[in-house]
Amino acid sequence: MHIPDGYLSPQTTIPALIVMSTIWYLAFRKVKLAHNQQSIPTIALCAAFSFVIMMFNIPVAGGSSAHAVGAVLVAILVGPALAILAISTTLIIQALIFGDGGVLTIGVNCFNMAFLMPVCGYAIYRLISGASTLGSRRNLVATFIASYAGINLAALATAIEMGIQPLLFTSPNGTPLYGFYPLGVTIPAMMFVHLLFAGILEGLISTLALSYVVKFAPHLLNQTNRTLGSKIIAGSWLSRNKTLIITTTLIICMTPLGLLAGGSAYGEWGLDEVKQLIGYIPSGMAKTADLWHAILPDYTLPVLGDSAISQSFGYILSALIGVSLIAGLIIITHRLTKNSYSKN
Amino acid sequence: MCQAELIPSWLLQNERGLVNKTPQRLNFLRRSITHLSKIFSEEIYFNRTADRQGLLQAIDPRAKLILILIFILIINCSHTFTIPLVLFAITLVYAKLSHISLTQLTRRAWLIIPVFILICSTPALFNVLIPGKVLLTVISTNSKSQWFSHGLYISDNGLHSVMMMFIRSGCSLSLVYLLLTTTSWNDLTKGLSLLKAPTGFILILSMTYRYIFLLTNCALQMNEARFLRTVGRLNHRENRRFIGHSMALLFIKSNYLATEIFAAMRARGFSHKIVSLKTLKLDKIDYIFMINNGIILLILLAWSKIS
Repeated sequence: MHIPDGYLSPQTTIPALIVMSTIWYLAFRKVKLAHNQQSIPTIALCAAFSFVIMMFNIPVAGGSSAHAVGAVLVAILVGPALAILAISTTLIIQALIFGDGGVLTIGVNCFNMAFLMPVCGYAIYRLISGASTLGSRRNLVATFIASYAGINLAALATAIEMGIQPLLFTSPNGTPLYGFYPLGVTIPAMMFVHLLFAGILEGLISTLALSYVVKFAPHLLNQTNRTLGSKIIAGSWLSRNKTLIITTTLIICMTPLGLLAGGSAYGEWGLDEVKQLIGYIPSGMAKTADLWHAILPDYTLPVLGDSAISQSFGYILSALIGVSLIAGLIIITHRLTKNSYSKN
Repeated sequence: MCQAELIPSWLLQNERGLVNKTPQRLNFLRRSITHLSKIFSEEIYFNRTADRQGLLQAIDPRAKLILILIFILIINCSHTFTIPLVLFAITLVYAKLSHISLTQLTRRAWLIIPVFILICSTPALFNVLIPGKVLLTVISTNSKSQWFSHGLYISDNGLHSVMMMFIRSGCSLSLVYLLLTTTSWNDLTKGLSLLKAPTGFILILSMTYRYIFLLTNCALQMNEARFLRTVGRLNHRENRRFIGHSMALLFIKSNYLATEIFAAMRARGFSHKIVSLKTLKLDKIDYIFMINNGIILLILLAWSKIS
């Protein structure tokens, strides 16, 4: 899953690095609040731990073996904020010292494996685990599902980042300038291995490791729960907003229903439809029509074709992007204005 | 092998008879041991090469770091073969002047990841994915194949795209390898701190690097102990349980270490400042190096504009 240099365009890798810098800053602030002066050795040792667990070979069918990423396990053991910093440090050292993964792609690799994987995996873990006892069947099932989902989400993100390259960066004659496999190839190629093999392996190993820690050193987990406010906050936030999350997810999943209706919505006509309706295109409309080209035209991904399933996938993806953008803007506004209105 | 230059050959030889008799189901342990020991051998190798009296070893790490990052960025921005290949040629010249084995550099940078990329990119050579002018016909257009009505051939655009990716990744990795073999980790982190990278980031990087070796040693010992004590056949379930439990044990150890290390740091008066015995100062040679490379980059830029 480590993307090397040369596969992604700098227009993808540099923004990812900027996004990750913000995430690192926020995560570091959170860890510092929880651990105070001990934050540096805690992050460093956690990073060394994640580095070493990535070196372990896990036996699979026949005589072959595979590697686990262990990001969700680290997040469950020490909390998501600490996990982001620890796994990012591991990935930076892997790129700078062992040439594993590119230097320019550090931001993208960290986003997939050190942010998306532990944070989403941890959220799923908290959602399923709820208030169950550590080491209970529900808790271990939650660990398995979270690890399975975490690695698959990271793989999906990697596939999307690679698959959008031929869409965005092509030469005038249409030849791809960077990655050349479209989403239709990268997503099945990555997901096949991860959904069938790597995910299960990751889930198994994480569950085994967590059950051991729960059995022989439960105080470490309890301490983690006590000291890392972020874990408790994440859990309570999810349970507080359970209704909102479920409703939003349902609405997102229902967006392809719009495909059942034929034609465009009233007043949302394109140039062709306006011409059909009134016989000509108003000059003002013609002038401004080309000012903006949508990233996902007609809520679809051109590479996926016109089949009903791919159109539905495009609708869901568009809804997900839209909801994330709006939610992000609201959260930023809330954060920025919080101090001023709390004073009043 | 990089170890071969530093460690006597008899120490690196495997007891072949014994290795061959290793049960297939213990392969994962052997691979883990190999991976973990490689960390140590590479560290020894990089430290030795960084201590050699060569050109890049004498240059300030800040200058090297900035230059190599700029080179990698230029390689990744270029869409023609010329600039990456010229920069690779410059890498080879610098490696020679820094007493770095060119065979090693080529082997490490080009024979693993770029070759893997090349193999994965083979389908992109054909017109099915990237159309273009015919270079080599595999199935002619006259064939009655249902799948390839336009024929199947290697296109010029396909070959260009695949080779571009292969060259980009190989050239970038060569530059990273050059930086690693000519700069010790301490100098690199010191350079980063002088470049105003956040102190917390540098401290975390330095400490992680130091303790990676300690935890790797723990993991290596666990794997070796298991490898030597295992007799007979074990099923995959048992083996996976061992790996899961080893990871958990490492977590417990690292947690214990974090507390101990923090206590030791406080006892020694740790004040969140980076202290280094070596002082780095940009010298005349560093300025000459930077100016010369700046001129090289300008020439390359002008050349790419003309051609």
